[in-house]
Amino acid sequence: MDEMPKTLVELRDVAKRYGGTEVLHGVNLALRDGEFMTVLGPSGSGKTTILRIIGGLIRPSGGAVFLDGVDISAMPINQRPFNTVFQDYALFPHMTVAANVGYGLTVRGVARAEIRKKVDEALHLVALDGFGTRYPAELSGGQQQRVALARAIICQPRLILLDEPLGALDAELRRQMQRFLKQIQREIRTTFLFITHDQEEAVTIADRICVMNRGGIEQIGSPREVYYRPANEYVARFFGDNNLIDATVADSGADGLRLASASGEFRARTSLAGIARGQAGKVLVRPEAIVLGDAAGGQNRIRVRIEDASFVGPVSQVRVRAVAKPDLALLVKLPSRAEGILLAPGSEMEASWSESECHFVPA
Amino acid sequence: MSLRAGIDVAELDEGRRARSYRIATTALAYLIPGVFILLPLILFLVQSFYYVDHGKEVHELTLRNYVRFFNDAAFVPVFLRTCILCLAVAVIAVAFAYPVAYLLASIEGRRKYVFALAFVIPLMMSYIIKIYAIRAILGSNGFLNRILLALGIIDAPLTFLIFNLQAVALTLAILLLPFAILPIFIALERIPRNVLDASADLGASAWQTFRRVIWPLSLQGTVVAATFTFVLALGDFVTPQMVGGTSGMTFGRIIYSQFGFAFNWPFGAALSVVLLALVLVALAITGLVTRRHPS
Ligand SMILES: Nc1ncnc2c1ncn2[C@@H]1O[C@H](COP(=O)(O)OP(=O)(O)OP(=O)(O)O)[C@@H](O)[C@H]1O
Ligand SMILES: [Mg+2]
Repeated sequence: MDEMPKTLVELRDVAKRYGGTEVLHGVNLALRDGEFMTVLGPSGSGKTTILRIIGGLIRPSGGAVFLDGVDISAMPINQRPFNTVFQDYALFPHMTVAANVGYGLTVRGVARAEIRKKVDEALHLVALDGFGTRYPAELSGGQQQRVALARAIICQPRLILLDEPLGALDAELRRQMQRFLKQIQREIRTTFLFITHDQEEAVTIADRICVMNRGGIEQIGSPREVYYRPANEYVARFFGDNNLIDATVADSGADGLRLASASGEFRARTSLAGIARGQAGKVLVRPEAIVLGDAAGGQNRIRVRIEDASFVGPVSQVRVRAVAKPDLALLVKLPSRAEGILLAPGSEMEASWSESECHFVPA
Repeated sequence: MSLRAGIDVAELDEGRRARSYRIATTALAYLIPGVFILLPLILFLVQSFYYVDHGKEVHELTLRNYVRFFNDAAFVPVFLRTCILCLAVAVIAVAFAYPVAYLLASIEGRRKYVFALAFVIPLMMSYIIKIYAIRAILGSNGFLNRILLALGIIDAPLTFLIFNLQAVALTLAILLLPFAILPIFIALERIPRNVLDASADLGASAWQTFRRVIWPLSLQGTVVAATFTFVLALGDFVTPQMVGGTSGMTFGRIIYSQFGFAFNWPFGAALSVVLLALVLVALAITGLVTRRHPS
């Protein structure tokens, strides 16, 4: 269990230019064999471009793509052992579901009886038994999605590329399909590279997340890492709500960081290497990690005044402001209670959080 | 309860108004072609059952025009030959149009519409000018002969280039090419880029993608293109007249002569009805062929 997972596909310094504009700047990415990686980023950040370069639909302008350590940059698309699930499914409208699913085998000249058997298996895997004779136009969106998946897995590719495959589905179906995809991925033990711009989706489904921004990768890590240990301010702001406080490193030791800020001293942890004294950056603390009340005992404490509290479903949001430094506002999230939150606006109390919940990123 | 009933009545009223509006627009949509196309056709059909006696049209219903068509040895062979000619036109036009449409559709970006337009503009040019242009190329003193003579490939002008049935077929195919290119181009255009990507992604070669995806998905447009050219070629009598010579007799020319020279309008009408029947059969076949896939 301790051996390093094998790298399946690797991008080294992959760049892509269209005309004069570079849309991908020297991207490095190593996909591990058997993992489920999601690529997350705002629109136009280059997610689809990366996927298409791996799939072979477009050629990189610089850098190289490796499979099992072998450069496959020049390998044509129809020879790469990868298959894609397109966002709008891209099913062949003139073929039955069975012909669609069996297409990859048909073009490889596999015997008919064999194809029929494999198609039945694939349709069974995606829970579409008996749909083989239908045409794509006769299926619902979710069913078409599953046909596209069955079509992609039937050739037993080393890697399945999915470009926002759930984008067109409604919320409930989307959640169902997320579980379903994850389950299938475990069953067939194939590497998945899954594009989404839905944070929640990326976090629920992934083993690792690759966060992109403006044609570059900001961080690759487990959902917990990118959430609690963001590599930089961009990632820190990208995932959910976060409190960021300007600070500089006063002391860095084996047991953590001591940070000086205008609102006092904080103790934090960081997983980043090479943080030295005097380094400026941000202290991060998640709204749900802050405890309000004078009795609470975290290493980091600020005296705050309650501004307002609002009920937003399972959590209630409380806005507070530092008494000593009124331009420092913090967001605090508490579990909602039926009787409401008994915090009168204007009252003062301690806000505290522990060192382990506190993180630092350099500016 | 009474309030609800009131609302229901109002909704009913609303529904009725919408329905009567729909009926009115539908009626109009049928009325206009009805008056301008169907009515003349019906009058024509009726006239085909009249006959001419000593230069006078007799308004008595009779089948004698149709009997004459089937019994007179002059008509049926020309009719059959015209069918074959027009099929040949359709095949030639589509054979040329498909690669052109394919190239047009594979041009990247918006430029392809500019190029496509360049091919459609000849559609709007005067028909007569185009025929004269073709005559100027194929004629015995034409462009092609003069080049061949100048190059010393031939000693005397080739005469088989024009004034025969092959010349008619070739000219019609050239004239009707845009009508064949357009439906095929549109069909190819409508194939989503992603579907072609998916085919390659699943391991298909370029040829396999063409045979299994592009060709079947453009087949309907190709059949429509063939029908277009076939039907338009059937109805044409000017082209055969201008490049057909005496051996290039077609059914369209015979019909024209019944109206223009013989002044036997009822017989001309009967021959036109026969032609119309053939067109309807061609359209019906097209309809059957193109309605196979639910897509
Ligand atoms: N063929 C092209 N020509 C020019 N620019 C392109 C082309 N394809 C993509 N781009 C540009 O590259 C950038 C990245 O595009 P890409 O499709 O990878 O974004 P994305 O992250 O997938 O966005 P989205 O979430 O909207 O799908 C965009 O700015 C886009 O405008
Ligand atoms: Mg995209």
